[in-house]
Amino acid sequence: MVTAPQGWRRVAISFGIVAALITGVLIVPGSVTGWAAGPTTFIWGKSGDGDSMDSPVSTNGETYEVTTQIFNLLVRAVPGKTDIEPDLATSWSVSPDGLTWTFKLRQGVTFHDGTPFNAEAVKTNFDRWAFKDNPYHEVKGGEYEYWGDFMADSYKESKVVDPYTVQLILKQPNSPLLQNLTIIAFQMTSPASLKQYGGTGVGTHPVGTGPFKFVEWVRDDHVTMTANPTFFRKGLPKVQRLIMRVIKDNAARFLALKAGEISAMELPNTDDVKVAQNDPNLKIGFRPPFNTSWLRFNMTNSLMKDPKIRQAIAAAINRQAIVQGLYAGYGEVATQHMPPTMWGRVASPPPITYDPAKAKQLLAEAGYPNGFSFDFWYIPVSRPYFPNGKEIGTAIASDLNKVGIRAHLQTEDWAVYLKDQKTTKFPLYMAGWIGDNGDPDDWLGFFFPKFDATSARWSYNNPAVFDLINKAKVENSQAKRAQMYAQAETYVLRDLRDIPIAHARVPLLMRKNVEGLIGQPDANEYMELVYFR
Amino acid sequence: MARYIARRAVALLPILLGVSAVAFLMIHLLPGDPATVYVGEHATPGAIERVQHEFGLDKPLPVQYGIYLWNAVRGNFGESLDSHRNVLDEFVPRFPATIELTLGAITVALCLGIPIGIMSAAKPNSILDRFGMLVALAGVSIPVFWLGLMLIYIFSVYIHALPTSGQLGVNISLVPVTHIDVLDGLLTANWAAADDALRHLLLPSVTVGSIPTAIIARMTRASMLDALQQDYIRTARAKGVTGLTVVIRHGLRNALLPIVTVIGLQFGGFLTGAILTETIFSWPGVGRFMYDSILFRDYPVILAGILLFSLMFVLVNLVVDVLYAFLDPRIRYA
Repeated sequence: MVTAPQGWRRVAISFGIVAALITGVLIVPGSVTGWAAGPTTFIWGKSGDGDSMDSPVSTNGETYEVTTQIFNLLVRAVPGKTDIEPDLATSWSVSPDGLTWTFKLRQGVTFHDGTPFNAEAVKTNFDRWAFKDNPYHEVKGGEYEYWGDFMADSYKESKVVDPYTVQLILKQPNSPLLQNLTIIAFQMTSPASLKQYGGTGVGTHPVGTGPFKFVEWVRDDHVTMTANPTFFRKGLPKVQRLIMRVIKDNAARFLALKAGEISAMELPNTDDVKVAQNDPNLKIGFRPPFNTSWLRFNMTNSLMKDPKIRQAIAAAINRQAIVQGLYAGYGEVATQHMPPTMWGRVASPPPITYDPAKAKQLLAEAGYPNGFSFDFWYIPVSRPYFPNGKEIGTAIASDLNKVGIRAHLQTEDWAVYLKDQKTTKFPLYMAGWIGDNGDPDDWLGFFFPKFDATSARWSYNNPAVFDLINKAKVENSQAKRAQMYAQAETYVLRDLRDIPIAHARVPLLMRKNVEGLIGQPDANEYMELVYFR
Repeated sequence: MARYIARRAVALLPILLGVSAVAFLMIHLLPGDPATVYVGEHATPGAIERVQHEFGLDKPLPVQYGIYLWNAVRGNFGESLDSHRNVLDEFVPRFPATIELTLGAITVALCLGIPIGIMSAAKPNSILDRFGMLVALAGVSIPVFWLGLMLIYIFSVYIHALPTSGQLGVNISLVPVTHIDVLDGLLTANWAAADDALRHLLLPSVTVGSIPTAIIARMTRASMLDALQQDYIRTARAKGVTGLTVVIRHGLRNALLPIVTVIGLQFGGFLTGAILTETIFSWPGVGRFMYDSILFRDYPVILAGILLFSLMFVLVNLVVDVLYAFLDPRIRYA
């Protein structure tokens, strides 16, 4: 007969065995090699997945990170900078009237599917982007947005001059053209792949000339690429395999890096950057500051249209303290809209000095000796230029409060925020920009295109500024263009249309043995340069 | 029984119709415009209008709902605003991963929850009981995302025994059969892949299973305590049946009914837990997809997801009702 105590002992023993088994599984490393980054495989931790592998119809930065490795452009940005260097075009020139751009192409380059790269291939790609009746133009749900924004107005056609010379013929000059072509949305896709998979199909079957060949894309999980042995930059890429893993949670991505499952990562949490600094297995790199944050006034608002009120608000905010305290040491105070990596900046921008006494005096002069109340809107999401919108918003409101301006902090869902900044709902709000390329038109052209009294975003009315920006867009000489943009920016700063806050370097974290990972201003690093020490 | 199941199945239709109507209305009551999110910071009014027209967002709400229902009954749930792919094509490949995680979590919840409950009830107010209830309390109290990160920290970063995220190691190749990786590894005799997949499954399963484990443990304890005080238990003991046999055969069998009900209800917990857990562990399942879609305001995906989750929830409840008949011979359905 089994007694009760013996029965429970049996249960306890069973539990002990199960516990021992689980412990065994946990402490025996087992197939740890199944998920660890190896010596010839570089694993990049991404913060999100792309929406397509066909950059021309995507504006998704997560797509661009991948396609930068598979495709080439006619011209590209120098590693770590926005300056231009040859890619598939070895040289270029523009006619004096600015209407004909001639590109000499690199010879002996083949796409991953063996198709030769030549002028005909370039024309195939431009025709596809430009002409709606092109058989490969139609992409289900896809929009050629960058083409529409940067090329559509000026482009007429492309001509094959000889197998390795191609001309772009324009209807009107487009001075930022070369800089615009450094955006991966103008990638050269294999004409044979367009024929084989169609305009929509190349979105999942990318065939380029780049350092890595596409192997597989498991949505929301990873993209695997393998080294292209015939890549035209000899000796590159330096790793055999490139995997881009999607780990959306910043903290989880950091833990994967600490555990050695990924080799490097983007967009860490600020606290994790501090942890990484003290971790002997990790190191930090940076994307150069290619972003700017600012406070934007609704210039049609009865309060904000008064220059003295704007000056008072600007003088009340301690931007230096905000940048020092809330940008984890990676920010610098902005003096104008464009970051220091850009040309066309104002050499000596009018200073905005933190001076609460002066702010109070200006308020009194404006007829508000006891201050006033208003709604101040902060961004609800984290952006490189405002890494923590709420904290920065709170700091600004606190500064304003010290001079008697009672700023009621407000925010709303990001989707609504984006929409409402184009209405007159916000008297003052946080905004910013991340550059697409190294041309000032991408900055000033986008933020000062016109006056619209119904939109806080475009509530600044200065025809001289609009005129300068429009003229700069069709001027051939970069020196003259630089002067025009600087002049336009001087007007904008003089009128205190916005209060520039900060430019932020964007940290990248990596394992100690990773070399050659150069942070790119546009966030699309060239993984071909990466190797393990 | 067959008639009962058929009747219940028909009753699903008005439930799903109601769910779809409420979900449709609530989503559209939210401020914000998916077209703006879709086009992003570059948005021009023309681009927004184009997108609104393309996805039918410029039509009156009842018309949009009517079109949606008409398409849905034909199996067309629309296109994702994010990927432009058919919504069903997005859900189908992600489903096996969520099923794998749910099975893992149910296994954890049953294997831990029921024994803890039984032990606590068998020795009420003992140290074992108090420890068991402490575990249960912790299970319901600890936020899932925090627990997940802590487990990763301990078992992946420090012990290096388990991976931090994903469903299968990037260096492992596996021929898909069912797309449930552990099962596929076993079916194809790819032991390395099965081992790797199991290790990937362990931490997310414990995370998703933590709350259901706690609730099942408490329910089992309460139900068992009640059962163990019944006359038939006393009679069994008087007849000389040993402690463990009494507890398992006479106690647990009679206490199971409410426990099964709770397990069924916890199914919703598995699904909502999966949304957070799949995000932390980068588990390529339906939960993470839903989370991303909510952030992106991907209306077609959110609606289809709500319908899908609701369908699963009511189906599980149907299964639970049917199970009653097997567990309690006194219950008969007509």
